[in-house]
Amino acid sequence: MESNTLTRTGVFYLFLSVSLALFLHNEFLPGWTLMLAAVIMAWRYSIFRGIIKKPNFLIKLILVISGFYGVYYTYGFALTIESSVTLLVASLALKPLEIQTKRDSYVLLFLCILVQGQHFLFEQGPLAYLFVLVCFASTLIALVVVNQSSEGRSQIKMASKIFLLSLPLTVFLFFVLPRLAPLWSLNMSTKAGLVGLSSSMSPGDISELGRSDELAFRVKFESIAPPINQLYWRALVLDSYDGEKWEAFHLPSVVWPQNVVEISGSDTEANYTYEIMSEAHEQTWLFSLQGSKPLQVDIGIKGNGLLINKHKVMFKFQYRVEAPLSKPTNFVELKGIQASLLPGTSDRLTALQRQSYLQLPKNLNQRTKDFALNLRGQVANDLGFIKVLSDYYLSNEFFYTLSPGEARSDDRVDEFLFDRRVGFCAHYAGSTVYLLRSAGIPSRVVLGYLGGEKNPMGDYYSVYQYDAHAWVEVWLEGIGWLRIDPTGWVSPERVEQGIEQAIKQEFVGFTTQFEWLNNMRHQLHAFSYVWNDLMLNYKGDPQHSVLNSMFGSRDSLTWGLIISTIMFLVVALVFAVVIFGGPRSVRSEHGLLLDNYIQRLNKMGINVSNSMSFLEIEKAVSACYPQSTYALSLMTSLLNQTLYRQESSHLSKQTKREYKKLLYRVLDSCK
Amino acid sequence: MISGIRIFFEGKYERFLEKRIPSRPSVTLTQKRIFIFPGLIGVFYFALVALMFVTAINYQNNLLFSFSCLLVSVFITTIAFTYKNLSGLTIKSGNCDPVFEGEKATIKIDLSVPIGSAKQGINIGFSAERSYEVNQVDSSMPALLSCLAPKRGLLKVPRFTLFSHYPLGLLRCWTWIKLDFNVLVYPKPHFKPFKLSSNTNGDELEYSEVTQLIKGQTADDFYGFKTYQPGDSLKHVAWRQYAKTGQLLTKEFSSVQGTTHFIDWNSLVGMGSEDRLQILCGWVLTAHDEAMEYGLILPNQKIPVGSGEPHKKICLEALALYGVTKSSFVAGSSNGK
Repeated sequence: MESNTLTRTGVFYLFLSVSLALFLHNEFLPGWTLMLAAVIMAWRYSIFRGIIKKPNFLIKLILVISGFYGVYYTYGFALTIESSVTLLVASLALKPLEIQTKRDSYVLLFLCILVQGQHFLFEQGPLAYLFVLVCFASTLIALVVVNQSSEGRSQIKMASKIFLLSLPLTVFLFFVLPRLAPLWSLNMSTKAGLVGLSSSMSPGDISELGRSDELAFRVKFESIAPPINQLYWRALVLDSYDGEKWEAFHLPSVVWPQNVVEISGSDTEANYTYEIMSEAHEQTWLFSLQGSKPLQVDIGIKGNGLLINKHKVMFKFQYRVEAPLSKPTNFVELKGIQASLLPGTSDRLTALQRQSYLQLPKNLNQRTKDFALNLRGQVANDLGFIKVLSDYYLSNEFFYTLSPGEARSDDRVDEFLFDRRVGFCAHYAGSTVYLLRSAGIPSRVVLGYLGGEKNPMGDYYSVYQYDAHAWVEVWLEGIGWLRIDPTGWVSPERVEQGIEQAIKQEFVGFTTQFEWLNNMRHQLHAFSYVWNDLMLNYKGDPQHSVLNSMFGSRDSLTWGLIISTIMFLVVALVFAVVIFGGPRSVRSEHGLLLDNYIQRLNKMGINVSNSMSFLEIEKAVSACYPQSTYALSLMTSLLNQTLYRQESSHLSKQTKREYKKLLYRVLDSCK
Repeated sequence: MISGIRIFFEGKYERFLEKRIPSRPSVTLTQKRIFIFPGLIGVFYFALVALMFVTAINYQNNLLFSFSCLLVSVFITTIAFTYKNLSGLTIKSGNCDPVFEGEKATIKIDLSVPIGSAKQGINIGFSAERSYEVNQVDSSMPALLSCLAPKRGLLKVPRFTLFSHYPLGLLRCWTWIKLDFNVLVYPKPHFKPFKLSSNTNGDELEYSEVTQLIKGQTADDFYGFKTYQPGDSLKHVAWRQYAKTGQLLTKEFSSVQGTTHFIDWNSLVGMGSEDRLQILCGWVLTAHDEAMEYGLILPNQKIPVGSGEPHKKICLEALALYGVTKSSFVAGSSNGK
C-alpha cells in the first residue's frame, strides 16, 4: 500500500501542481527558488526515468542547508511574510526530489495548497483569485491521480466534480462563518517597499511620488460629494523643518471614541458621510477630509484633526467617516486668494503648539527670512501677508514641474524662491510655510492627496498615488486654521483639474484619446471596486443586516438554527447529487439496442413488447411474415450473443453495424 | 489487562458486525454496511485548514478565508465521493478449489458494480495491514485472498475487509464482509500401507478384516518395467532400479484394472474418527494415483466402486463432510457449474 505508487501521470500532475504554485509567487520571491525548483524537478524526473541514481542522505542534507542559507542570504533573520513564504517555497522546491511513497506525495501536495493560500497575503485581485483556484484544481487532480488505481482520463473529471460541487458550500460558509478578531497581533510586513506617501517631505530631493499610477484608496460618498477641488485628503501634518526635511515632530494626543454615534436624521444635510477603502500602506494614518469623525471604533482622532488606525494598515482596509459640510460661508475669499476655513478649529493654540508651528532651522535661508519680515512690515495683518505672498508667486515666473532637479546649496528655500523657481507641491508648500513662520505666523505642511477620479460606472472616486499633494494650513488669530494651497497659485490646473492636466507631457498615468478604451478601464475599475467591496471587505456585520433585511429580525439563537438548517440542506443536496446522480439510471447499450428493435417491429404493426423473450418475438413476427424466418433467426442469435456475452457496457462498432444490417434485412423481408 | 479490554471490545465489534453485516453468499454495499472516517492524511488536512483559518483571521484576509472555506467544503464533498466509491459494490463468493487441511486455500471473491460506475483504489484483505489494492473495478473483477484451512469440513472464511481512500485520500471508507464460501477442506492425508476390503464380485460386501495388505505392490500385480515417460505417476517409478542403473523406469501392474477394492472405515479399528479419516484420505489418494478402482465405506455412507477424477472428488468430499452438518453446503457446487 505504501509502496512506490507514482505513475507517469502521477509525476506529471505533481510537478504541474508544484510548478503552478511556484509560478504564483514568482513576482514576490527571489529568483533562486524558481531555479532551484526547476533543477530539482529535472533531477527527480531523471531518477524516475532511471537516468540518475537517487541522491544519498548527504546530498539531501546539503540541499536542505543551502535552502536555509538561501533564505538567510536573501532576508537575513528578519521574520517577514516574504521570508517565511520563501522558506515554505524552498521546501516545496526541494521536496519533489524525495517523493517515493504516497505519503510523500501528500506532503508535497499539502505544501502546494499552503503556498497557494499564502498567495493572498501578497495579491488580492480577482485575477489572482482565479489563478489560485486553477492551481488548486491542479492539486486536486494530482490528489486523485495519487489515489487512483488505474491510469486514465477520469481523474480530471473526478477532480472537477469535487471542485464544482464544493463551490456552493464554500459560498455559503464564506457568508455565514463569523469573522473573528485577530487572535494575536502581527507585525509582519507584506511588501518591502511601498510607493506612496512617506512620513517626511524633503523638497530638495527629487520625489518620484507624482509618477506612480498605483491606487492609493477609493472613496464613496453616501449622499452628496464635495466639489473635486475641495477634496483635500489629509494624511499627515508636518511641523518640523531641519533645512532639508519636513517631519512630524510634535505628536498631538489622540482621542479614541468609544461609542460611535452617527449624526443622522435631521442633520444629514450638514454632513458628508463617506466610506474609504484604503490600500495597504503599512502605516497607521488614515485619509480623511478636514474635521472628519470616524463612524466605527478603533479609529482615533489626533489633536490636529487627522484620523489614525489602531493597527498598521497591512491589507485593504475600509472605514466609514463623517465630515461636516463646508458651507459657502466658510470660504474666505480675500482679494482673490483661494483659502478655506477649516471647521471646528477655533480654539486657542497652546504655547507649545505655537512654538512648534513657528519652528525654523537657525542660520539657514537668511534671504527668505529677511524677505518675509520685510513683506510683513508692508501689510496690516496676517491675511494681507498671505495675499502678498500669493502675489509674489504669481508675479514671478514660478514653474510647476515634477522634475525640478536636486537642490545644490544648503539654503534650499532661498534657492527655490529666488533662483530656480521650479518645483512641485512640496516646494511650494514648504517655502510658503517657511515664509509664514519667518513672519511669525504659525503654520504647518499637510501631506495627503488632492482630488480623485470619478468612476462613472461605480459612483466612487479613485485616488491614485500621483494625486499625492502637499499644502499649507495657517493659523490666524481669532479665526482658526485656514487651508491655503500655494501650488494652486502657480498652477491652478493642478487643483482644479488634477495632476493629469497640470503636467501633460510628463504624466505617466493612463491617458488615451480612445473613448472605448477609457470606458473599458472604468468598467474594469468598477468591477474591481465591487470585488473589493464584496470579497475583501466583507465582514461579519453585514451578514446579520443582510439576513435581517431578507427574513426579518430574529434573535441569534433562531439565526443559529436557521443557518445550521440551511447548511444541512446544502450538504444534503451535494450528497444527493453525488450519490444518486451519475450514470446509474442510464440504460445499457444492450438495452437500448433491444428497445430499438422492438420499436421498429411495432412500427411495422407487429405487436411485440419488452417483456417477451427473443424466441417469442421471433415466433410472433414469423407468424405474420413467414418469409422472414431466416433473417429473424440470425437476428435472434446476434441479440443473444451481444446480450449475454456482456464483456463491457459498450457495444463494439462492428456489432452495431451488424445489427443495422440485420434489422434492414428483417424489415425488408416483412414487406 | 489492556489486551483483555481489547479482546472484549473486539468481541463486541465482531458481534456488532455480525448483526449489521451477517454472513451471506453475496453482499451489496449500502450505507448500512459502509463505515467512513477521516484517515491520518485527513487529520493532517485538518491541521492545514486550521492553519489557513488562523492566518486568514490574523491578517483579516478575506480571500484566504474563502480559500479555507473551499478546503472545508472539498473535505465535506469528498465524504460523499468516498462513500459513492464503495457503495453499490457487490461482493460475491466465487468458486474455490478444495484444499487439504493445513494448506492455504485460495479464495476467489467476485467484485462487481452496476454498469457505468467504476470503482477505484479498492483494497482487500483480512486486515488493513495484510491487504492489497485491486485494479479498477469496471464491471466485474475477481479478487483472490489466501487463507489457512485449519480444520476438515467446510472452510470458515473469516471476515475480510474492503477499504478505499479514493478520491483524495482524506477519508477512509471501509466495510467488513463475511461471505459463505463453499470451500471444502479435505482431511489431511495420512499415507499408511493399504488395508483393502476386497470384493471381486462387487455384489455383496464383506466387512472382513484384512484381505490384502499392500505395501508397494503384491507379486501378482506387478508385471514389468517400462521406460518412464513424462506423465507417468511418480509413485510408480522404480526408484530402486533408478538408484542402481540410473535409468528411470515405471512399474506396470496387470491386475489393478480388474480388481475392485473398498476403502473401509471399519478396517481401522480402535482409532479416533479424525485419524481414521486422515488414513482413509491417504488411501483414496494412493488408490487414485495408482489408477485402481475403489469404493469407499463410511458408517453412514457407501460410495460404489469407481475411478477417475470425479470419483476421487466424491470420495474426498464424503470424507471432508463426514459428521459435518450438510445444510450449508450445496453439493456439487464446488465442482464448478
